Amino acid sequence: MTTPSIVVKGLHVTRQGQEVLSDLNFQVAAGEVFALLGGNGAGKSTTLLTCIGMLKPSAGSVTICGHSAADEPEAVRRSLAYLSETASLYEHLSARENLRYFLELAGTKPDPVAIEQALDTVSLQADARDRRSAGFSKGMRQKVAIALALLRKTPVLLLDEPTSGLDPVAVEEFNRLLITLCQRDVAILMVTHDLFGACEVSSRIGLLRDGHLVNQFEASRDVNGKLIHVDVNEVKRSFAGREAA
Amino acid sequence: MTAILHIARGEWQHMLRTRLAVTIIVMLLALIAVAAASSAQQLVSESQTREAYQREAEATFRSQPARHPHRMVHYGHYVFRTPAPLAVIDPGVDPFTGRSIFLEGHRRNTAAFAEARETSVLTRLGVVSPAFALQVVAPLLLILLGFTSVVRERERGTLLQLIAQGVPARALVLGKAAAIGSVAALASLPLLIGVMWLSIRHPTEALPALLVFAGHATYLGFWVLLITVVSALASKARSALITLIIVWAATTILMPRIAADVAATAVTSQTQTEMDILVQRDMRVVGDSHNINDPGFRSFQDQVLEEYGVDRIEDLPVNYRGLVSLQGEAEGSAVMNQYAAELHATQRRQATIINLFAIASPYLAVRNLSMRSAGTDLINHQRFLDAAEAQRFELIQQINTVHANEVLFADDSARSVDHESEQRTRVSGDFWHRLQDFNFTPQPASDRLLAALPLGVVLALWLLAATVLIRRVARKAGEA
Repeated sequence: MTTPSIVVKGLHVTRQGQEVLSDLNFQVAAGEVFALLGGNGAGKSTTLLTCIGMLKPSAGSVTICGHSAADEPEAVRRSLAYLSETASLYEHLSARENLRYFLELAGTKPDPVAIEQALDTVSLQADARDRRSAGFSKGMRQKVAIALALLRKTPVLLLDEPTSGLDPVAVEEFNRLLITLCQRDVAILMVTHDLFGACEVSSRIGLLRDGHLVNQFEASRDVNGKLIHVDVNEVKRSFAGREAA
Repeated sequence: MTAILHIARGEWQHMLRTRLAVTIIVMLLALIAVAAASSAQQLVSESQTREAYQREAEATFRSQPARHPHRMVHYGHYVFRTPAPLAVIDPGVDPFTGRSIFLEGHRRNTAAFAEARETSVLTRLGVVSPAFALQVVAPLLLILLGFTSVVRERERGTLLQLIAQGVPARALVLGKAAAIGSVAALASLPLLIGVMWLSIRHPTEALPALLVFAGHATYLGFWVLLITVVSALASKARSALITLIIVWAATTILMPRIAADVAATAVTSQTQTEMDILVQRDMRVVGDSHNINDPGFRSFQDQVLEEYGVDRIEDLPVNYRGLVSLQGEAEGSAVMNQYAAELHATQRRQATIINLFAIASPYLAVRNLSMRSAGTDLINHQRFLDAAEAQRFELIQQINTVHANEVLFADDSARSVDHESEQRTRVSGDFWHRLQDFNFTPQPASDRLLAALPLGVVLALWLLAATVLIRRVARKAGEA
């Protein structure tokens, strides 16, 4: 494993008097997809919000590319791209305009050629690029959001339930994009309750329950270095067993 | 700073691409521009009309033929108030208080021909001054334009997206405020142009005009910040809109009425009818100056006879009837002035109470600041009434003096039965040329500025409170 881009160490987070995360520990290295799997209320979104620096830990720490999320949130945010569940875009702007706007706000000068390349990479249809994003499907919005991450060249990508509401073709396209990002050494932390999707694309999977990381699974690689997916049934058994317990 | 400008530009882009926002901006600008243009046109024509009427009334009075002086006392004369230059921005109480007064003997008439009473109900509702547009309508339109500014980002998930990519929450909130503020600035532009134009035409009005502009700019600035704060605090756009509409209605519709009711309850004043009855009662004590034998003037008669050293009024070197008229007018005026002074003092106390409500309503602060600076408030109306009364008293006493000095007592006593005597009681029309021009001037600019200053401080405090609030909210907006 290379130097971890995301380090979560002994993390405790309390919200409205309730401990939502308890002694959470994991790391995500560059080029790795770590999926945090869990049901509703397990603490998945809280983990992401803490990584962004929008929630302060009551104990422990989150470090992104060497910066503490609690103490240096702005430096952390410069290092990451965040893709929300809804893949929100400005509906009155086109795909290109959305990218330009977000890039300007990130302090990056928008380069039209680079924007076209990024949109090519994410395979957004040419006729959709100048259309207002109000009519975009979630898959199309996600493509624009991934294009933004590519353009910003951030070393870390945080994904919140990225495949929920996507059709199988869109999921496949999305997974292909994640692999592209991994090949560019982006560390990806994905929170999801989609067991199959997580197993399909993740290098490692962590099972999150009631704020605790209860189990971790690692994908192996074959002799050619190709990822051998995490066994869905193994994760399912562990998940079911923990539920029963 | 760059992020704030980017956010502001983004918000402008959103406004321009949203039909509702474009409609609101166009409506706002059109309303202000139309209000300014129609108000300016109305004021110019009003000024010309009133000046023309004033000169005509003066010419009519001066051109009267030889008459008995007391007939001229009852013939009377009109004085008109020329609108203050800044009435083009804020007509204040002018449309409701009347613009002319009929000056005659024995009576202190109140102002008549109020615009609001003369026009039809529909026209009355249709008249919008720039001050009204900026004080009442502009905040409402700014609310409709800006209530979603921040909460929209939260509802659609772009807020988290922006914060997560390192856009400071402060820049986001201030950028939104800057965008709404730029629309408010655009809406204030006709006012600024008007203020500059007025300052060139009437240099003495430059400072009050500037204060009127500064007051409105501060007031709109307060609304811009409040709209952004509420939008940033709300979890749903609908709740932001409801909150802001409630604040708008409470401060601009409800509070002025509450303030007026509290003022009327705390400082009770007589109605015009009640006051008229009391004046008549006291005037009866003074006596009827048309009747030289009225018991009210018995001691005056003794005093006059003693002063001139004669035993009978017929032996006086002056016309006793004229003297009684002079005395009756002086005593009657004193009675009427006393009641008027009490009424004015009551109204001023009520106005002070209403001003105190500026602490609870920025609308009241800007409304009263604007009227005071413009010279269109109650104080200036009272000043007009007093100036007209001074003119009336001067005119009537001049005529009464002519009556005393130029008409023989014998002729005066016999004029109703003897035609020749009656002819001799008519004094030359040349006397009516002594009528002085009526030139009412509003309170000096320095006095108006001084009076408006406390309201300016209250408005500044409202803006300061909103600034403190937005700083706190901007810090919180970046937290989950």
